[in-house]
Amino acid sequence: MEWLTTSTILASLRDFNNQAAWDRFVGRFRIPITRFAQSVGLTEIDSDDVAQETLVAFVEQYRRGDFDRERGRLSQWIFGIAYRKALHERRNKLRRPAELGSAAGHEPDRVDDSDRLSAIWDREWEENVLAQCLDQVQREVKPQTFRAFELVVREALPAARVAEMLGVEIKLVYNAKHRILQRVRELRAEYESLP
Amino acid sequence: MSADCPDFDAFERLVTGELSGPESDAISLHASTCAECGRRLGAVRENLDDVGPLQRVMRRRAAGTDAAGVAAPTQVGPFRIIDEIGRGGMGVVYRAEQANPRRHVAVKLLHPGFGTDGRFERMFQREAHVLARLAHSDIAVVHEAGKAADGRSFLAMELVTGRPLDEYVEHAALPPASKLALFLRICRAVAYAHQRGVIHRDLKPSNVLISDAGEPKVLDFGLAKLLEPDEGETNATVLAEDGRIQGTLPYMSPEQVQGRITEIDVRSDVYSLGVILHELLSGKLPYPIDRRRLADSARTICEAPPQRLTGVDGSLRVEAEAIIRKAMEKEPDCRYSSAAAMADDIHRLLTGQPILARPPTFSYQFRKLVGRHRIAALATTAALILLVGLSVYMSILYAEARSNLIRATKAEALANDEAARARHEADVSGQIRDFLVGIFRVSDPDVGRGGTVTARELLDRAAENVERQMSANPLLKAELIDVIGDVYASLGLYEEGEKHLRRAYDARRSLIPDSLELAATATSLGEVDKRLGRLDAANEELQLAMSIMRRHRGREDLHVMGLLRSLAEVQADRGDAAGAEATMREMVALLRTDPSGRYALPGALNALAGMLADREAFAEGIPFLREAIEASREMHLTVREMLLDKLEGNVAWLLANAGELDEAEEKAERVLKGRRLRLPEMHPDIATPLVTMALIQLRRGKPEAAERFLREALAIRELRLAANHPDIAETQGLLGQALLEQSRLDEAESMLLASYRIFAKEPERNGIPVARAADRLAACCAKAGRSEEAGRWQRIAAGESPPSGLSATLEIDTGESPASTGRDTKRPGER
Repeated sequence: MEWLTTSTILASLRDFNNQAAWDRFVGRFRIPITRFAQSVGLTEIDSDDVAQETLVAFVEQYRRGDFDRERGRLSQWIFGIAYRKALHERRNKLRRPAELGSAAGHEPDRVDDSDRLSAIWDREWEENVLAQCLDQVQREVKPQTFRAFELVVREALPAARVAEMLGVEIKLVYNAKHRILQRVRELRAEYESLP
Repeated sequence: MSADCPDFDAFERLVTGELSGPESDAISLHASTCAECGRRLGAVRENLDDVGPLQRVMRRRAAGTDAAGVAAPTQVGPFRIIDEIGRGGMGVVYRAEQANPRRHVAVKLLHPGFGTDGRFERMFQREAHVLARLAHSDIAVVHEAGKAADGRSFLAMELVTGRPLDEYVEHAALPPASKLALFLRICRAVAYAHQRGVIHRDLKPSNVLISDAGEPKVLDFGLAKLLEPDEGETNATVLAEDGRIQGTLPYMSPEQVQGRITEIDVRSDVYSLGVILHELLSGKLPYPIDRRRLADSARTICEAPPQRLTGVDGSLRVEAEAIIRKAMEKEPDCRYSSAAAMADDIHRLLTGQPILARPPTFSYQFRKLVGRHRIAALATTAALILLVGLSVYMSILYAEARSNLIRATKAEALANDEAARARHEADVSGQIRDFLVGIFRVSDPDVGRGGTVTARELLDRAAENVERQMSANPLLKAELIDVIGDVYASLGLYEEGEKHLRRAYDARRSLIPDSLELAATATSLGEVDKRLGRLDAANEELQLAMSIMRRHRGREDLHVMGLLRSLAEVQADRGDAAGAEATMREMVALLRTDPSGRYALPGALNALAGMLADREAFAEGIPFLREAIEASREMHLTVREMLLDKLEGNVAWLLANAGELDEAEEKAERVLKGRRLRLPEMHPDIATPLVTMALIQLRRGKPEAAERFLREALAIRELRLAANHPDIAETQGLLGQALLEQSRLDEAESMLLASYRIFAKEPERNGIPVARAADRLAACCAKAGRSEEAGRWQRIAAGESPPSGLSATLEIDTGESPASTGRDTKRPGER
């Protein structure tokens, strides 16, 4: 799949009939929202609903021209929406049966200090950005290069051991590691770059 | 850069301090003189800062998708793993190398989380067996099946390098005829499998790879059902022998979605092929399936006709659409009898012969009108408007059904005057039609402003039109106001919805009291009032609706069931536990007798068990939960897994309370393990099985073990719940008990007091927990030799003293007795 900057994806959302743009947009931003919603205690299904509603709301605002980069970063803008939607969804849950099955439901009225939620959001956003950049790099490099990277970074294996496992020179393992790290850094810079 | 320039490894060793002395100095010096290497050194420093976060992300992803955080293996059986090429529900697929014969293969390795009950492993083994019987150039060949060193099963198959069907078609920009020709090959490959007694049951574009040479390969017969069992294999006919439904929702046939497993046969694959063909030609699914709204999507698959085919012109479109519609008929008997028959029709189409599928007809003009306007709205408005459009559309269909009811009522009154009835019907349907056209015209670019229309505008326009157009017909006006109120409410605009629904309610109460229409409005209004917290009004409205429904319709009616559920919720919210339990028992009884109620039955049984647990009738609740577990096995895979998790957790809790410790522990452990894997750290749902485990340990006389579980549960709940949440109090109470049993009396008392304080804030609601907390405090004081205080707590526990006890708590907390301070432990107004 072609790598697009966030600016490009957002710009293509202005075309109402562009289903592919919507799919890309959802693919890029859904996960941190669902994870955030789960972190405030929503179920997987409810979290997906929150993500869907958040993204729809954001696109509406974006198309109306409400999103103003000067007023905050993209992640914070989406966070604002996701926060409201998640809390609203949780309030809605009052009418559903709670896990232990009372008809009235005992859905917890949870304490949400905004600092804590904000920190959760930042972490989820950051991880999502990195994950997407990694996916893109994986598409760009040879499978063996990425495998070397996985073994040396994810599994924290010594470069010499990785070289032995893959049957390559140790120099190539270091090259793979740093080329991918550098590429992730470049992609990351593009990720939130908005005009 | 020159040949003398150091590599990345040298820079990394320099940065990490692995190098020292002259070697380190030489590289540093070089970097200071070579611009490129200077940049590279800086980059290495920055890169290494990123390793930690990236490692976290990669490990989290691996844990999330492998379900056990298992790293990719390097060797599986005789195959050396090169890299990962895909993941599915059952396993991970790797590109691997085989030494003899030397070739690349795809190795599918079962997830370690699967196979605990042997079911997935059996399915996996069967996949090998099934595939081994298929030798067709367009079906991926299986080379070998076996077990990896870690015990996981694997399957080695032909490595197909290429793209999934949908991606290939999009990329290759094929003309429709070429797409049909490609599809014909896929169809014939599936037909080949059908002729050998193999049904795929999970056909979808991602299960069809197109090689770089444009050759299709059908993959993943893992869900195949063997039509004819082999010798010695007595139960091979049904892979999903326990009723589990497998497949991917948008491509699943109605019989798969509804779990009618005995009806799944080759025609289910024909249905999936129809969906694939639609998507292939138009680039879109034939229905607007939202994978996250399972119930709605299932209903769409079972009831809605496929959307018109776009992206193909002329007669090809008409005929291709006819083929798709025939393949996608709701009833298997109306579809092509096999993939071969479908392939034959595709072949006829491609060769210009008449096809056998007949163009479908649209039976209901009214629905068509609305459908057209919905599409117009789609083209011009944003995604939100699509949702609103659908809501309005659904409401209109609902209104249509209701207007049929009105007509039925009218028909009774006008039984002797057929002409008058016909005129009346024509008049009503004409007025509704004009009204609808008026609303939707705003989304027509030729008439409207051509820009975005907000949901609110659409609805407000409808509300305005009602006043203007319907004043001469108060019954119809009430009908439409009711629909508008429903739509507002469905958008979460409850206040606005309530306003309209109340108008409809008042109008119908005066015009048609004791009618089903009034019952319908009363139900909607009751629901909205419930959400607005107006419980008395909601109770009155729902009771009225219930009494009308009971008189007019069968008790098994689905509307009655929904109403009973709402009524039970309102009764429980109002503190009428006995009323809520009686209502829920009535609902359960109805659901048991109605086949269409089976999806609602597990939830209702769970709710009833919860109510019984609330009054500590634990043993009585257990059979209900067991029944719920059985009932939930008939449900769709996704829903069932979540539901079973909850039900298993609940039954463990009830079993623990009822003293059935072995079974309780086995279930609670399984639930806890599953949630730890699936949920984020410190998720509140993890606390529930922790508390159950603690309860079991307490009952086994192991307070130290219980304490460990409870400390973790309390940490989660204190982090995630409001300070005075009853779940925190429950955990504190149990922890106090665990401490008491370890004779850590000070710690126990402090924990028990904290628990008591929370429960005692709402003594009416928390009668039993207050008594239990007081009882534990009495035991604590007695053990500490403070018999007077123990007596006072015992009186509270027995209900002889007022249960509020807030001031009493403070007094005990400070070590002062009520008598010594002269303060009254009773609530104001009590003697």
